Amino acid sequence: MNNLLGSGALVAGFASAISAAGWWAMVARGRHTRTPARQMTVAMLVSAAAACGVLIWALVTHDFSVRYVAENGARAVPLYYTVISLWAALEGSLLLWLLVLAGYAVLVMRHVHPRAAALHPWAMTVLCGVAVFFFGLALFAGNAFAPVSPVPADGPGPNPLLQDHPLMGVHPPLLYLGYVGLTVPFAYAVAALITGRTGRGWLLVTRRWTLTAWAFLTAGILLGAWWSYEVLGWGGYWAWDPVENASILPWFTATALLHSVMVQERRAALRVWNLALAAATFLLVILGTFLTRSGVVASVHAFTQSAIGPALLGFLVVVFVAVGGLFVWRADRLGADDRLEVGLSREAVFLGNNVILVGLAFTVLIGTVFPLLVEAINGQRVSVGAPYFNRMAVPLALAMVVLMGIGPLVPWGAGDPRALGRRLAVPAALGLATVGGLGLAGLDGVGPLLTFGLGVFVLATIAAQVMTATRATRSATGRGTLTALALTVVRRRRMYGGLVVHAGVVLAAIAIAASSAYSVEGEQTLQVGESFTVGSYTATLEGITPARTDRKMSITTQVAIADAGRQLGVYEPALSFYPAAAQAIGTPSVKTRLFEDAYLVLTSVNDERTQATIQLIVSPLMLWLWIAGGVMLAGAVLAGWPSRGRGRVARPAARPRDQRREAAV
Amino acid sequence: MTAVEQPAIEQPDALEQRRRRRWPWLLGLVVVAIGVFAVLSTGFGRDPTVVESVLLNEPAPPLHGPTLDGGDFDLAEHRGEIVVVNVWASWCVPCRREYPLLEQAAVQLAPYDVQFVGINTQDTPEDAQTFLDEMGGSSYPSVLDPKGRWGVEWGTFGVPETFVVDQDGRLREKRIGELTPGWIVQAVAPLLEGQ
Repeated sequence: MNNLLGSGALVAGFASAISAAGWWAMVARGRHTRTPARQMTVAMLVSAAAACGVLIWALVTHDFSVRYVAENGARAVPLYYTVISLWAALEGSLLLWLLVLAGYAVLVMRHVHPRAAALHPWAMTVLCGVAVFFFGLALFAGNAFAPVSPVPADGPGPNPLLQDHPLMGVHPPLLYLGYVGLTVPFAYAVAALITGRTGRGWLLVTRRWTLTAWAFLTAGILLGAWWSYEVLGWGGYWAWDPVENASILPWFTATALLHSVMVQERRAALRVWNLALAAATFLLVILGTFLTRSGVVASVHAFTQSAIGPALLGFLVVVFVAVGGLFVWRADRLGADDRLEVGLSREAVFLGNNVILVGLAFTVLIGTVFPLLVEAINGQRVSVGAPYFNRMAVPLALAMVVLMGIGPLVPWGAGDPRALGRRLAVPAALGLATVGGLGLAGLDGVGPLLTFGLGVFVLATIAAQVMTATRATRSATGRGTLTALALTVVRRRRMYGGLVVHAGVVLAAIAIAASSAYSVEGEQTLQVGESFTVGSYTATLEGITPARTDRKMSITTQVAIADAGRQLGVYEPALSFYPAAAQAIGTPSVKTRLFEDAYLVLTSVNDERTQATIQLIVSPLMLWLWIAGGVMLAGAVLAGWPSRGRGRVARPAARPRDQRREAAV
Repeated sequence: MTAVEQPAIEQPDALEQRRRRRWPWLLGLVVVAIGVFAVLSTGFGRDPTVVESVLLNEPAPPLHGPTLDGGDFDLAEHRGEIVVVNVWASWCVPCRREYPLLEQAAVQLAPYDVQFVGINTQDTPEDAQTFLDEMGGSSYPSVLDPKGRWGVEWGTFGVPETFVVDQDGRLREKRIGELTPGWIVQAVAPLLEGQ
């Protein structure tokens, strides 16, 4: 029954996506009214939701006649993990992808921007066209609803790693919301290329979509890092695994796009560049999906091979050729850009920012596909490790931090170096003082000290900007400081939201530098009652408790942690053995404190269960990485939250200069 | 301020000239696309359940000790025979599913010199015996490995895993995860040539 319902929903979705794409293309060419196209688009969303609903129902009711349930369900798995098994494997996660994509399509359909009305039906055509591909993929290449006969009595359950932490219910959907959301700027970029209207119109529509997708992607990446830290038990949060790279690649280009559109919003410049960034971001999303869903690269996330891999590769190449062809075909309409000020100007800083971000994307991309390249050339299997990525990415990231400090202070057009110097003097002095102070305090390492110094420098420039503006508002309005601060920020939310995001990025950089440079660790085999010391922390093994359930066999240890003699509580790192699983799965236990984490991992237990090998990692400032994530998201929300009465009072705080420029367009 | 921007349309001459300049670009695009396809399709056709083991084609690790049925087993005494080694545990669901395949293969290969042996890993003898009783008994021995020692020795990633050792005591095949029907016979058949 569920086989039929699910496959039926996919067939309905495939059909409605095809007709929706067709109708929208006709609307775009002025041959039809919108109503049927809109209905088909909604039908597409309903079908995707129905397919997800049927699969969740089949999982919850343990209908093992459904292939996906037979492969990923198990009676012993708790309800929550059964429901989120929807995205535990390839075929199910495709359905989630479809739901998100169809959801975005309906949302994009509902809002037609007056400045880009001609682009709207073309953008819808592209969105529905992408949906056609993914519905086809779910239906023909990896149908989760294929019947299984004879019906098994029980299944293996989802990947043990995914059963281990409730975050698995949140991390993949957030990542998908980000990933799939980046289809929207792509769709509008293609629409701009098709119509030849490559001016500001498409940017005004997609600005908020890009920011929304970016925020989801950021949240998804950070939650993934957190999950890696809390669950995987190796003490780190980022391993340059191909899947992590796949998520960070479009993040780099989307971040670049968010900045470079600001240049084009002011003047006719960087048109082709912005279109190319939007297209590249989408291509990187598809490439990332391909790399991780096809089994061509080894990764903890890689799914097994199926027809989906070749289909995704085909789609990637087709989109690449189609978009490239559009660029060539429309080369005559792209028009000549204004010359950019190359001197000291906001434009130049944005350009620098874009070069660095695209450079980062390129570096990481090369490292990720390099093993495939080598294998294609001489058949050898190689792997590119963290040292390559760290060596290449860290200097670029530091250069980006420098630009984050300077950029917001440099005016558009031609800036005055002396005025800039005056504004940067105090923050720069604070940054130098930080480096000096920390150096004298005995911290070593050029990289981390540089990061701390630059971090303080950027935070100081941000604080100075906010303070100066608040003071001006206070004297202009006569209100109190807090009210003036709120007024200042609300009037230019986009700018201050951006500064908050910058503060978050800087905090993250500081946390990453501190935790990777100054963490200390030790490992020791302890009898029950014995203890060992790492840094100022002492870990005492208090007990070993084995347990066995239907799903797994596990051994939990009780370890008391003390810092300089002060007891901090008992923590329970564990080891679990799941059937059919890669090795034993360690569950670390973390004592999180404001300035450092004590991270406990159970490495092994002896046969008699009398002694255990415990690893203790003390990592400074880890909490601040997660706080930084929160700050970045808060900034994105501040910058992107829709204004009250949108459309009625579109931009109340536009400055006279902007208005002059707009009048000239 | 115009509400809708107009696409810029150039003079016909300039247009014609630009159009002629398109072809090299399109050609380049297609070449790049073919390159991308060639590189990215490298990994297709790889079976992720076939794992390259450093132990493959090397002398098999030792395996000896008391068995579940109260006997003793030593791999070294089975030189000259093909040995199929299966790592299993009572708490492992795929092991339960693949068990009939093992028994079936043991019956099929009974006329030849093929020895089957289990490594009962991370398990208790009581649970393991219950498992075998539920399965209708076992026709071959299983070495007890409550501490997972032999599992480490054989470089197992998880359970189940199955190995084939040839007549010279070399490890010839390794499979991670549940067996598929026919896998054992296919892995053993080439080693039986001449028998």
